[in-house]
Amino acid sequence: MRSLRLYAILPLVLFIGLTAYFLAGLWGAQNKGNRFIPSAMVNKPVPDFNLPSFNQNFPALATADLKGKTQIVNFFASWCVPCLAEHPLITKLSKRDDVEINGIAYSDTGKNIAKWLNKHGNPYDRVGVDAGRRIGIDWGVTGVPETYIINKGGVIIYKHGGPLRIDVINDEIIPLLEEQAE
Amino acid sequence: MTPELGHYALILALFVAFFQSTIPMWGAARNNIYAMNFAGHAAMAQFLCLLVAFASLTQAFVTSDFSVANVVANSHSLQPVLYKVSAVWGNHEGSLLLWVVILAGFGALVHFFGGNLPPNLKSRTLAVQAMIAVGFLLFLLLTSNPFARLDPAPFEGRSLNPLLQDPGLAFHPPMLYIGYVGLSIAYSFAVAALIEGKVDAAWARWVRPWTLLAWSFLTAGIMLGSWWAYYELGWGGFWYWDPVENASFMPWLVATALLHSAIVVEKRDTLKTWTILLAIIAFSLSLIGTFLVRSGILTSVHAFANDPERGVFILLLLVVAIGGSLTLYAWRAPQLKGGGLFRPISREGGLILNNLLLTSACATVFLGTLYPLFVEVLGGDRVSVGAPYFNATFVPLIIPLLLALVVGPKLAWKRGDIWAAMAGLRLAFFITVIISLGVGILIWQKSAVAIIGLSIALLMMLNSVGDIYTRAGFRKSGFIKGLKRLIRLPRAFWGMTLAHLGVAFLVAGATGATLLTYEKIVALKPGQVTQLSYFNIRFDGANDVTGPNYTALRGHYSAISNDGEIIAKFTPERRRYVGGGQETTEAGIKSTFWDDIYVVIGDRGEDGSYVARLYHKPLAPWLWWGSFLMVSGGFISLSDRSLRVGAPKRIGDNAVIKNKIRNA
Amino acid sequence: MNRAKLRKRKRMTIVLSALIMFGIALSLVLFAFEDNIVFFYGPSDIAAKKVTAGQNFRLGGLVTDGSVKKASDNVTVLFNVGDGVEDVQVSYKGILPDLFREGQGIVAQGKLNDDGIFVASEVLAKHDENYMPPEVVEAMKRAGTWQEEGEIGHDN
Repeated sequence: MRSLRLYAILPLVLFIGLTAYFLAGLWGAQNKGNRFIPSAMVNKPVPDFNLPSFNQNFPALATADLKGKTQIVNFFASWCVPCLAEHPLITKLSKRDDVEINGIAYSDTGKNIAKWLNKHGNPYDRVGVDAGRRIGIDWGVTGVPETYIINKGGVIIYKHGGPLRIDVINDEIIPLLEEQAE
Repeated sequence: MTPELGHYALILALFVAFFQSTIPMWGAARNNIYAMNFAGHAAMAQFLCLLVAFASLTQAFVTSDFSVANVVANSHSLQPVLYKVSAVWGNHEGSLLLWVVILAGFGALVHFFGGNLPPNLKSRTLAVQAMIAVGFLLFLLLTSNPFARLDPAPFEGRSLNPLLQDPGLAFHPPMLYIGYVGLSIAYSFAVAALIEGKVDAAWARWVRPWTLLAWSFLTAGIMLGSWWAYYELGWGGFWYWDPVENASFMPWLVATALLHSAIVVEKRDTLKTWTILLAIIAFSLSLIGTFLVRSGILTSVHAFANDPERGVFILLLLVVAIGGSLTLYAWRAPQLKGGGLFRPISREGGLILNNLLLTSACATVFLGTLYPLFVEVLGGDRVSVGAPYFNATFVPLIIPLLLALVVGPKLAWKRGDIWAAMAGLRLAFFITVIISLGVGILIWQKSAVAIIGLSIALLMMLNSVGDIYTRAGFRKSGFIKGLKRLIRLPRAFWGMTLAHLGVAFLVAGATGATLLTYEKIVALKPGQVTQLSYFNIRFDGANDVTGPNYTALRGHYSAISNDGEIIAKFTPERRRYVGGGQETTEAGIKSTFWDDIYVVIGDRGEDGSYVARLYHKPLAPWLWWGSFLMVSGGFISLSDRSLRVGAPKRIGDNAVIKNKIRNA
Repeated sequence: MNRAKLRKRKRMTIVLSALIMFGIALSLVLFAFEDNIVFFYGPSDIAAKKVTAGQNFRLGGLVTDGSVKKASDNVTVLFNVGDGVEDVQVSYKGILPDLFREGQGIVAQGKLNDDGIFVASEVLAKHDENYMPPEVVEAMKRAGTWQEEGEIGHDN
C-alpha cells in the first residue's frame, strides 16, 4: 500500500525539518552571547547625593567622597536579615587596603542604624542614611542588600544584588579590586 | 547528609531505569515471562528511588539547608512553609526532578493497575517509559543537578521569586506536569503497539483511561495557570498566547483529539494508525514544550532558565524520542490492519471532523508560536506574533468544532441521519434564537461578535440539558422514574455531558471576558468617585502595610451602585519583597457568579492622586466554572468501571508462555 | 463494490477532507500573518524612517534619564526611549510595570502617531532588575552603542 507509506513518512520528514530549525535557533542563541547583562547603572557616574550620617561623630557620605580610590558602596538596613548574613563578609572586605567601604542605610533611621552597628560591628569608613529611599531610586536599588564597586574616577563599574557570598567575593569582587589597584 | 542521599537515589534510579528499558524489551521479544515481569518491579523500584530523592530535596528546602545551591537560589528563612515546599519545583532543576518522579509514578501505576494487561504489551510499555526516564535522568545528573552544594554555605537564600509565592501558582506546576507526563503513557503504549505490530480494541481500552487521567490534570493545570495570571498579574487578561502558554495548550488540543479518536478505535476498530500517530504527537508536543521553555530559544514573559547548552541536550532527547518513534511509525504503521467501514455522515465521521479541527487548530498555534523562530533563523528581523494572529486563526476553527460537538453525538455509528440529529435540536435552537435576539439588542453596541459566542454557548448548554432529559426518560416515564434513572445513568455519560457543558461555560466566559469588558484608567484623589460601566468606584485612600516577607502600598476602593449602596470593597496592593527586592501587584477583585469587578493600584502622582486601573468583566468567572466542570467531567468518566475493566485477557496467555519455557 | 474498494474510497474521502481542512487552516494562517505580524524596531530605525505612522510594532531601548514625567491628565506617562544614538518620545496611559526605571531596558508595543510620538498600548518588562531584552541588545548593536559586560568605559 504505497499511498499509506507516504503518509506514514510525512510526520518524520516534518520533524526532521523542525529539528533543523531548532538547531539553527540554538546556534543563534549561543551566539547572541551573554544574557547576563550588567545593571542599567553600570558604566555611569555615581549619582549626585549628600546624605547625613547616623550620628554626629561618624563621617557622612556624599558623591565627592567616592573618588580618588576604589570604593565599595553597600546598601544595607537594620531591618534586613540578609544584610546581617553578609555582614561578616563586608567586615572581611573592609580589612583590605585597596578599597574603602561605605554604607548607605536604606529606608532606615539613624537611631536604628546606630544600634545595629553597635551590636554587630561597624566595618564602614563612611555611612549615609537614606531614610526616604530617594537616593536608592537614583542608584537603581530594588532591595537590600546591594553592593556597588566604584572606580577611582567615580564611575560605577560593578553591582551585585542580594547578599554577598564567598564565591562572589572570590570570583568577581577581589579580581576587580586587584585590577583597579593597578 | 540527606542531600547526598538524594543524589545517590537519583543515580540509583538511573541504573534501575536503564535495566527497566532493556530487559523487558528483550523478554517480550523472546516471550520470556520472567524478563517481562521484571518491568513492573523495576518500575516500582525506580519510583521509590525518585521519591527518596524528591523527599530529600524537599527536606533541604523546609529546613533551609543553604549548603544546597538550589535552596539558596530559591528560598529564604522567612519564607512561609508552603512556599518553601513549592520552591522545590519553582525552578529549573527541581521541576525536572518533579518531572521524572511523576514519570516513574505513572510507570508504577501501570504496574499496579495493569494486572490484566497482556504481558508483552505491558513489558514493552514500561520499557519505553523507562527509556524516557533514562534520557531525563541523564539530563538531570549531567546538566541540572538539584543537589549541587555550596561550600561554605551562605547564611541566607535569595528567596523565591515573589510572583511564585501564591497558592494558585504553587499547585500549577505539579498539575501541569501530571498532565504532560501522563501523556507519556499513551506514547509508550503506542510505541509498544507498533513494536508488537498490533492495535486492537483492547489496546484502545487500555489507552483511554490513562489519556483521560493525563488530560484531566492537564486541563486543571492550564486552568490554574490562567486563573493565577488573571488574579495575580493584574493586567486584566487570562491568556496571552505566550509561547510558554502555547507549549501547554498544544498537547492539550492533541490530547483532546486523542481522547475522541480512541473511542472510535475501541467501538469500531478503525482509525488505528491515526490514533497511534496522535498518541505519539501528544507526548512529542509535551517534549517540544519542555524544549521551548528551557532552552532560551524563544523570549517569553515567563521562560525558565535560559541556557542554550541545556537546550542542545533536550534537543538530543527530542531527536531520539520523537525521531525514533516517528521512524518506527513510518516503518510499522502501514502494516497495521485496517478496520471497520463507515459513511461520512456518521458518528465516526463526526469524530473525524472533531479530530481534523483540533489538529488544524493545534497546527495554527504551532505555526504562530514558532514563526518568530523561523523568521529569525532565515535571517530576517525579529518579529513577534501576538493575540490578534491567534484569535484570527483559532476562533474560526473552534466554531465549527463546537457545532459538531452538538450534532455529532446524536449521529449513529457507521451510518447516521443528519436530519434526524438536527431535528432533535429544534427546541434548543429555537430558544437560543429568541434569547440571542434579546441579548443581542442589549449588547450589540458593545460587541456584535460577542453574540455569536454567547449564542453557541447557549445552544450547547440547552443541548446538554436536553440530552440529560432524554437519557433519563423524563418524557416517557414521568418525573419520579426519570429522576431515579438519572441517578443511575452511567458515569461515562455524566462525564461527557459535564465536560461538554464545561466547554459551553468556558466559551461564554471567554466571550464575556474579552469582548464585553469595561476598562478605565484614572488618577483618583482620596474621596473621588468615577463611573465604571453601570456603577461607580470610589477611592478611599492608601496606606503602607507590612507582611511576613514584604512591605506594601495598599489602596482602598469601594464599588457603589447608582442608588448609593456599597456593592463591594477592594484592597489592591503593590508589594515589595525582602531579599530580592522585587515588586508585585495584587489586584483587588470582587467575584460573583455572573461577573468580576477588578481594581489595580498604580503610582502616586505629585498631587496626591493615585493611578488605578478598573475593570468590569461580565461572565469572566464562567471561565473557571467551565474549566472546573471539564476537569470534573474527566474524573467522573475515569471513575466509570467499564473504562477501567479492559478486554478480558485471553485465557492461557501466561500458561502458554510458561509451558514454552518448561518444554524448552 | 467489494470491501477493498470501499476501504479505498473511505480513505480517499478522509484524505480529501483533511486536505480541505488544512487548506482552510493554512489560508487563515496566511491571512492572519499579513496583518498581525509585529516587527521590532529600535529608535535609530525609527529615525531612519523605517516605520510608518499607524503601523503596529514593538519599540525597544533604554529609558532615557530624566525623561519620565506625567502628562496633564495625571494618568498618562511620557518618557523617552533611546539606543544611545537616537531618542523616541513615548506616551503610555496605564500602570507601568513594577521594574520600570530610568536607564532600564524595556520593550513597548504600539503605534507612531502623526506627531512622531509612539503611543504605547503595552509596556513589557520581565521581573528581574538585570533584564535587558535581547531585542534591545540587537537594536543597540545595530546602532553601534552596545557595550558588553566587561567592556568598562575607559576614562570617559
